[in-house]
Amino acid sequence: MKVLKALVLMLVTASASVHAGCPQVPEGFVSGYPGGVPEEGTSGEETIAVHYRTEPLQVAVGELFVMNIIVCAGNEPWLGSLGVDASMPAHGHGMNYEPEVSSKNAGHFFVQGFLFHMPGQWRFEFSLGAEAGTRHVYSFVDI
Amino acid sequence: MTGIRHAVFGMMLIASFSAFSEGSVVFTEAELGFIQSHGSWPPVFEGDSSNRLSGDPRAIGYGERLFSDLRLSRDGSISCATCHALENNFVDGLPLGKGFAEGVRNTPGTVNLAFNRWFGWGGDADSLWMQNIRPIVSPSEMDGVQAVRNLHESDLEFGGWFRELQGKTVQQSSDEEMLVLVGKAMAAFLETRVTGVTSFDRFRLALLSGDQQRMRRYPVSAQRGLKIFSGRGQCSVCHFGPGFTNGEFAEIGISYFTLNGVDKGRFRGIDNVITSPLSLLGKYNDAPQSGNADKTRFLRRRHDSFGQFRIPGLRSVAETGPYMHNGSLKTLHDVVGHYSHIDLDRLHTDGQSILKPLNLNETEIEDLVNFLESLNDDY
Repeated sequence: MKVLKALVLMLVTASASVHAGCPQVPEGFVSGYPGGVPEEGTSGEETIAVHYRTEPLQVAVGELFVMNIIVCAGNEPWLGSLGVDASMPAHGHGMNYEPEVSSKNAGHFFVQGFLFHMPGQWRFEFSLGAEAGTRHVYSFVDI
Repeated sequence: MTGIRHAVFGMMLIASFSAFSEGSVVFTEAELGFIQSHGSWPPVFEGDSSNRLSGDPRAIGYGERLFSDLRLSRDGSISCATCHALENNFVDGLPLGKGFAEGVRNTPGTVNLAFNRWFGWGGDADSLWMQNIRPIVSPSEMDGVQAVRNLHESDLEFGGWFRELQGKTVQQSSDEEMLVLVGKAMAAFLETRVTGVTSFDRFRLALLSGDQQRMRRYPVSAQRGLKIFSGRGQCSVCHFGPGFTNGEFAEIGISYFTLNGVDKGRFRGIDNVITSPLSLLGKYNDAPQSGNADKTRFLRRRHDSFGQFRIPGLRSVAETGPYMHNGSLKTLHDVVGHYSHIDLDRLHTDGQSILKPLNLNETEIEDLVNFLESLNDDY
């Protein structure tokens, strides 16, 4: 009986962990972190990671595209707000279009309205808002 | 005899290599990337989903007749073809367009419009059919709303086309519905106006496939011009892709002052398109669920849009002078000279750093002009 109870407890704990934790990053997602690299030696709630995937995967000049984003704070889904934009640092300009962010589930976001109108290097800018303040994650892409 | 034959063959080989060496320009990998992006031509056009008449042969024929009919104007003296003259590469050759009054902008050509994202120098329209309506309505251009109605009520042929394509008579249609139908029919016609393959296109294919013999047919001066265009000139950044335009807007140091005020360009164009009932956000979009209105829905008002004008495509550019949104530059030589000596202090680009004076010598200017002229489809 004790063995059976222990087994049940293990199964319940395992399933709870799957639902509470941040999901595994699916294939094709690019990862970005504040400061550019994963933060080590910090508590779980400070370790922020932004995982994103554009659709289409290969962004073309002059074509509207969308983005699926998963934001994790440690092992938990990010519960704050998300803002997304993009710019061309070498040229000193942004997009002529304003992306619209919507949230599907905790830590899951869908963004539409991207259009890169020039070839070259673009920088995605993710702004993660929380009570403690806003943190920024940048990720570069060449098209 | 064998030795002589070998010597002759060797001399021919050396001669042909020398000819190629003398006639070739070497492109960097980055330049080749841009050159590749400038084709293939023409792109596949799959129709305009917002216009149910797109590709319809009946509408194309009706639209072609409308385009040239003087009865679309208030006093029967002006048609679309008056300014967009078919025998003059769809332009009027004037600095500023002139209907019933002189306008503030140059008359652009009406070729390759099927591939535009925005229409008009300020992008005031997000579809070709919306753009077609503006000059008809404008009091200074054709002032023709009543004239269009009169035409369809008095001319049995036009009235018949209208009824067939609209599903009701012009008498049963509001002015707005009437203009939308006319705009869509003309759009169906104008979509068919696509320029042909050029000597640049043939050179591009030869270059990408390594066909040196065919490459030699393209003038060396034009090759040098292409190298500047796709390389240090950075022209390909804005004049990107098969149509030689990225479809957006730029401020390039050309004055936006007019005789009576200021032409705000894209800044006003954004306001006009998002507030117009004729935009793709409105009820006349024939495929609102397709996402074709997303470009308008996600438009961003930006301070630096002030004084920006649409980056025109460059195919057949040699035929469409004078140049710039206000027709202020008479020749292609003047255009290249403008970029060569551009005054950065005149730019209002809020820190953007794309344009720089190229400081071209006279030969380089000629080379660039020769390249641009090779974008004609009869070159």
